[in-house]
Formats: sequence, C-alpha cells, structure tokens
Amino acid sequence: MHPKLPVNCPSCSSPLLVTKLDCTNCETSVSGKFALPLLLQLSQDEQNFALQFLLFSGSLKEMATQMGNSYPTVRNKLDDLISKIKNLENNATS
Amino acid sequence: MTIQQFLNPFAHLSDRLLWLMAFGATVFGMLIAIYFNVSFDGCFDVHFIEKISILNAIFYLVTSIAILSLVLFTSGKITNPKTRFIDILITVCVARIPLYLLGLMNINNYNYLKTSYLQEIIFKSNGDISKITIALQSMIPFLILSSITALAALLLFFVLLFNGYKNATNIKSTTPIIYFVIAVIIAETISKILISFF
Repeated sequence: MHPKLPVNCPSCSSPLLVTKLDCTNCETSVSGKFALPLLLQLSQDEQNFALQFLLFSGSLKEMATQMGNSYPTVRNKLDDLISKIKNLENNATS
Repeated sequence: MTIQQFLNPFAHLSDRLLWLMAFGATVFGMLIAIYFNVSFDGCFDVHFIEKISILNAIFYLVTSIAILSLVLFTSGKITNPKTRFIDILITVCVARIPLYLLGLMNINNYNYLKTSYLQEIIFKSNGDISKITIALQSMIPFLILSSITALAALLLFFVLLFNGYKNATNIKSTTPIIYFVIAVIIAETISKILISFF
C-alpha cells in the first residue's frame, strides 16, 4: 500500500510544508521549511492525468481513445489542470 | 447507464460512440420525417403535416442542424477559441434525438388528423364555445398526453444541447450561458427565415 501524500492541512486546508527529510542510508536528518514541488501540490487524479499525458506523448486524441472519453472531455481536464498550475505558480510567487 | 451518462453522454462516451450516435440519430430523424410526415422546419421545431416530400424532409433537417451548429460554434468560439466545430455538430445531432422520438407520435398521421379535426371544429363553430368545449372534452387525454410528451422532449433536447455545448466549450462562468441562450434564439430565427424561402 502506498500512503497518499497529504498536500493540504486536514484541519484548515492550508498548503502543507515539508519540515523534515531523512536519509534512509545514513539516517541523517535535515530540518527546515520546504515548500512542496508544484506537481506534488496537485491531487492524485491530476498527477495521474499529467503522467498519462506524458506517456501518450501529449496526444489528447490517443488519451481520449484509451480512456474511453471524448476528445473535448480530455482537453477540458487538461485546460483545468493548466489553469490550476498557473494559479499555484502565481500563489508561489506572490 | 446512469442518469448522468444519459443526460450528458458527451462527457462520458468515447468519440467513436458519439459519432455513431450522431450519424445514426440523423438517419433515424430523416426516416421519421419521411415516413411519419414530420417537418423539422426549425432548430427545435416539430410539426406534423399531411404529406412531406423526401427532398423537403431532408432539406429541413439538414438546414436546422447546420444553422444551429454554426451559430453555437460561433458563440463557443467567442467564449473559448479552442472550441471545435465537430464537437458542436455531434452535440446538435445527439441532442435532437428526443425531437425525432416525438415524431413517432404521428404514426399513420394520427397526430395530424387529431389536430386537423380540432382546427376544423374551431373553424366551423363560429365562436360557439359550447361546440368547442364538447369537442375538446373527448380530446382532453390526447391533448394532455401530447403536451406532456412534447414538453418532456423539448426539455431533454435543451438539457442535452446545453450539456454538450458546455463540454465542447468548457464554460464555467454564467456569461457563456447567456451566449448559449442568445445563440439558440438567433439560430431558430435564422432557420425559420431561411426555410420559409423554400
């Protein structure tokens, strides 16, 4: 079982930060406040979609055929994902 | 098939299946128009007439589909430049299925004869309300059933059309909904004017 990486606080829904990293080899620990990479801030479904998009070499038509969805449905998902990534980028810079 | 899939097949079915549905529906609509004397002479018009020629049946149907698709495509392009004509065309063809099913009400010219009879009674009554009331009483079940069926078909047509349009244009805000309503009204007006010339 792969536990899901929580990206938002379950209590107040604010974005979570990485505060500790451990080396599995020498057990060194690094502490600090590290923001999650942009891709990890996406939901599991969105990450899977982005991964599928890469695996299909960016062909939405092929993706739609494989997923059994229509082309505009897949394109809408991509457009929504792009707009979410842009929002996350804007939030990170502001 | 869930209710969601039934009301919005555009978001749940594959392109190939939607293509087949659109093509099949249009052929079905032509057959209904020809064999049951149904005139689809407007974007969402269904009229039962005494006799329709094959040429007129096909012309009305194709014109209605083409104009509604073109006008909705134009409004879709304004809201989202990524809108494709083919998606709008499929939407229009599939959304019209309830209207074609409504045409089944005129098997053996049943609906046409009933409404013609009613028109004749009204015409001959010379304003005598009692004659109209007597004629209407025997036709109340027919009138209620036809009205409910027609309203349900029209409602389903608009639900399917809007869901398909929404999927093809990826609209989120309310302004594009206004565009959609205006586009449908414009398409209906253009199609009625154009068809009246032939």
